[in-house]
Amino acid sequence: MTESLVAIVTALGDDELILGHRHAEWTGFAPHIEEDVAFSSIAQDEIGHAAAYYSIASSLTGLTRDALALGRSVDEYRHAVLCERPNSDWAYTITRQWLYDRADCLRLTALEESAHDDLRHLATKIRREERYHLIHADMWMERIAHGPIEGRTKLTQAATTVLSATAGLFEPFEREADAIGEGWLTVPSEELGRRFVGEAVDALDGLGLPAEVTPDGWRAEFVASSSGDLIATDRSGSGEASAPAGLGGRSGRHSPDFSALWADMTRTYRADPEATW
Amino acid sequence: MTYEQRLTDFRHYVGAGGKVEATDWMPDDYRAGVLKFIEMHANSEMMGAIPEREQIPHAPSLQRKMSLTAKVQDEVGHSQLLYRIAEDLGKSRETMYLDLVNGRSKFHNVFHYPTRHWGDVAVIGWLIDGAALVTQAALLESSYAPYTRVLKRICAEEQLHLRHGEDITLELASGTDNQRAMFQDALDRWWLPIVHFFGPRSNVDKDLLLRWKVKTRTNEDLRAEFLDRYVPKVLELGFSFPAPVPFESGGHWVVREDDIDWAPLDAIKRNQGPETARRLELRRSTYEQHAWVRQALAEPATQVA
Repeated sequence: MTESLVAIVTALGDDELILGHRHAEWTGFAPHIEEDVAFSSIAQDEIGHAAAYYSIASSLTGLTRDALALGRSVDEYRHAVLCERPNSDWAYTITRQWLYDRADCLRLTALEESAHDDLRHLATKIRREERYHLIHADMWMERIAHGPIEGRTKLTQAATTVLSATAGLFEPFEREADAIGEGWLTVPSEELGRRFVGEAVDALDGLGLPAEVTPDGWRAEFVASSSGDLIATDRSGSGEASAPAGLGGRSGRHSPDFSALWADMTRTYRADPEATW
Repeated sequence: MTYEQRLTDFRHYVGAGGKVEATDWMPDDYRAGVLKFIEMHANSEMMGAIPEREQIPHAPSLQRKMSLTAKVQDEVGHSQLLYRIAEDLGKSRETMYLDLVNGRSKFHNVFHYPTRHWGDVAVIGWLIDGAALVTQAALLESSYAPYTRVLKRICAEEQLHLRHGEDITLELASGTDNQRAMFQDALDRWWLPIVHFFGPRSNVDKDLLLRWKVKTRTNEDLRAEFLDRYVPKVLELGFSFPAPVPFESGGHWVVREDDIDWAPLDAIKRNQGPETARRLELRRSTYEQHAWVRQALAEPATQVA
């Protein structure tokens, strides 16, 4: 009965931890000083959310939060592959944050109906914070989308790559049917995913980036704007080549990017498992 | 009033403890000296973010990961505050940034060295922040008022960093053999740079910044305060010092000046420290990669049909 709940909070915690880890890689190197400070705060928020999800998992499994965060092997992590991808450039980072926050907002709204008290309360708390992240990402997306061609081109390329990989955020959790039966989840992940694609395409359209989504729902083509200066997307150069991109994370199948991240992230913890840090 | 008369008045004014505001008249040498000093401080906060951020990915717990990120974030924030007051003295932030990445300006010696592991986070957070706090607290009495106002805030945050560093140190010191070895290894590598941090003995007759009370205490005076404050604590935790080994003399902890090898500091002054080129290149290439972002921010947003 609790296994399906553990599966959900572990996967959600992993999403936040791994994305927060990537975000923190910008600390000290963001495009300008004020943004450096802002983005470091977002990174801390995400890692803090991970800690909160792991607290629920901890109360159910008896493992400590840090053992959950840093003491598992590579294939025991359940985050979406999207979260582990390297930061690439600022356009990719912002687009990922923007689409992730939209996806997160949808699933948190659904979790606010969960039958599990702690999870429901946590969803409300996190959604309040994520709203600020979305305002931040919205500001950047508007600025770049309405700015010079170089930035718009990068944004279009990033949106194509990221949007297809967001599919990984809506892969069913392990034992999802049980979780639905228990009322821990109220909306199946695939259903949330369908809603998300619709919202994402509308939001991109609102930025003057009209996307046409292919029938499988996860591949975006960007069409030229009326000014004709939007360069058609070149998918050959995109990082996520395999189709459908970015799946497998929810069952522990990760990319080589994660092996490298995991080795870095758990290095000190693994060096001395007896130690208190 | 002639320049000479104004200069004499200014000398008397700061000599009597008067404070200078950005909009006040000041001698050209004073302006240039203060600007260079604050610019170096700002550069140091900016470059000082790098060694510690290198260890964020390796933080051994969620709490440490968040607090180290927050600490580095504070340092970047300090550089922002300092660049702003430096700008008021007549040099644009962009010029300062370009001078930094092209090696035309300086930053503190300790940020020219590599970090190896979590022991470095403890030594940086406790001993290097402790050293910085000794020098910055002394600058609270500086004659340049805008600097003292910013320093007040920086010192308050540095106090928290110091506690963070001390906490990590105590965790390692009271931990496993492996953890104690981590701290000792880091101390062995960082001790000489920490002694260098305060600089060589001040030349009181030639140092304009001292004469104009921008700085109020000599390098050797600040180093002495640091040694007295921290050496006993490190020894109490059971760690040992490499050269220059501190010893007790007349109720104070001191290092023999002949025991200090100044060659590494001289190399750093020429921007030839172990990590100088790599870190400046990182800053420079990041700056270039973000040219399109600056463009997007600079141009007024256009309406897209």
